[in-house]
Amino acid sequence: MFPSPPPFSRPPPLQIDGASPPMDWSDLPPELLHLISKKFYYISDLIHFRGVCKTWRASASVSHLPPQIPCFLTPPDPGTTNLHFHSLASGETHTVDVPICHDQTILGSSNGFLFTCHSANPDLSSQSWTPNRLSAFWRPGEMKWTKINNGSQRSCYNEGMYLTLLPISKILAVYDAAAKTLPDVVPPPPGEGPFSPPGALVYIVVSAGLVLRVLEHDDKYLPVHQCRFDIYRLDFGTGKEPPFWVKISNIGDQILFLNVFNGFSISASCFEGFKANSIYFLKEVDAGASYGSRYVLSRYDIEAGTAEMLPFPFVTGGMWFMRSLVACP
Amino acid sequence: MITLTSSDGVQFDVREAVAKESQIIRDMIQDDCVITNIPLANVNHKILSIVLEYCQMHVDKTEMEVNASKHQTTTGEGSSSVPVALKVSSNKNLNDWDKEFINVDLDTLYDLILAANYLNISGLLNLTTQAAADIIKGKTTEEIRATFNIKNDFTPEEEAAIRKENPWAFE
Repeated sequence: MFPSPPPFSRPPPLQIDGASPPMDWSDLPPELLHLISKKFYYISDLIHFRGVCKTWRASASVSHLPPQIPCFLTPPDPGTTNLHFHSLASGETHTVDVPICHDQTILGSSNGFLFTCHSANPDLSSQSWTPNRLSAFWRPGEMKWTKINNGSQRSCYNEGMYLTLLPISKILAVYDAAAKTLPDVVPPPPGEGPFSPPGALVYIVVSAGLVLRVLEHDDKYLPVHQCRFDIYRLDFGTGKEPPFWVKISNIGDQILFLNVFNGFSISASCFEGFKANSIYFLKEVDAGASYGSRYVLSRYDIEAGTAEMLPFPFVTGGMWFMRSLVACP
Repeated sequence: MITLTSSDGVQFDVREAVAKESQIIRDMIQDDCVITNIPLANVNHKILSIVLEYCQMHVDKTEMEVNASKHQTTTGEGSSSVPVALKVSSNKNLNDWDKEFINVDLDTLYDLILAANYLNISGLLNLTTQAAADIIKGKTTEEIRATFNIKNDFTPEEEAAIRKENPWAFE
């Protein structure tokens, strides 16, 4: 059922002009080199590409990276400033010495930047975020942080709104980041309360423009395959009434990556071997009282409703990190 | 039929649909419908024959699909499963065909990228630049230079600075 063979037969390779030098790929026009450089899904390929020669370096932009699978970053080993990051895509683990991490707690990351604060002295006047009991946000152009009573690290920012989950009550507070108005409050979905369901963790995640509430039914004594998730979408209705939660059964082509307190979402369409409509999460496992928290990387298939453990070199926890090649301004 | 003349003077007679896979030829033909002979100053006969092989296959495949869907609409519901299966298999075959087609030496690939860009054939440009990227993937900087015969024009100081930016990538 295939079309007739095309009439254009390839000439045999010319051997006679053995004197002609091979093509010089550094002469390829920059816009075409740029097209090639945009095909890399591994950031390491782009780094190697940019190290080849001056024309290749100049033609490959670092400000518009293709979508990347996040890597996983662990805090420094005790007494060192070595950060380890593990690429899910390549399976490799690399170590980077970051002296500035000395005595710092890593709070979060965004666009390739890490946000840290001094472990001993959380201080809002620096570029930092307090880890305990106090939340705040800062608007460009303002001189002070706006403190949020009772906020938590389970928070996110989406389309001009800062959303934070209030501890215990599990109510979501929705702040308009541009206006100094009181926040909208969104009660938790039915079945969720201060102590129910027992052992459940709530994440507030932005996914493809939607605010999701991801409820992980889990505790450290539960085997991985028994973990289960419920997912809700924040619905703004007509805009006149406060927003409310609507339960959803799938997240389309997205993959969620959950940190200890929050998470983010990417589209699976660009990545072979990564299943859409799934959640990558850290499952706390019981390691006995003397070992502190231990974690294993797991993936939850939303459609099948099942979780499985994945190979992972770390046990100490950490966070997902989206790498960038843009230098600090 | 349209006659395309390569930079080294070889003439290729092709169907208009095949020539129109190229955006610049499509524009020329639309502007002036009596054009029948187009000289292509930047493409030699060796590369042009390969480019036309690509265009011919993709036009044939599209026409086959159109025929299949016509068949589907005229024969009613009873036999609709046949053309769908045909469509799926022809898509798969075309991807396989593309893969086999682009398995060329580096000099040819280089010329094909330039020709696809010059003639503005988006499918071929995507295929050729992807093929170049696939060759680069997973290689170290030195391996890329050796593969593509590129001279390192950085000074040792510049090279050291580049490595220092992302030392982990050069471990």
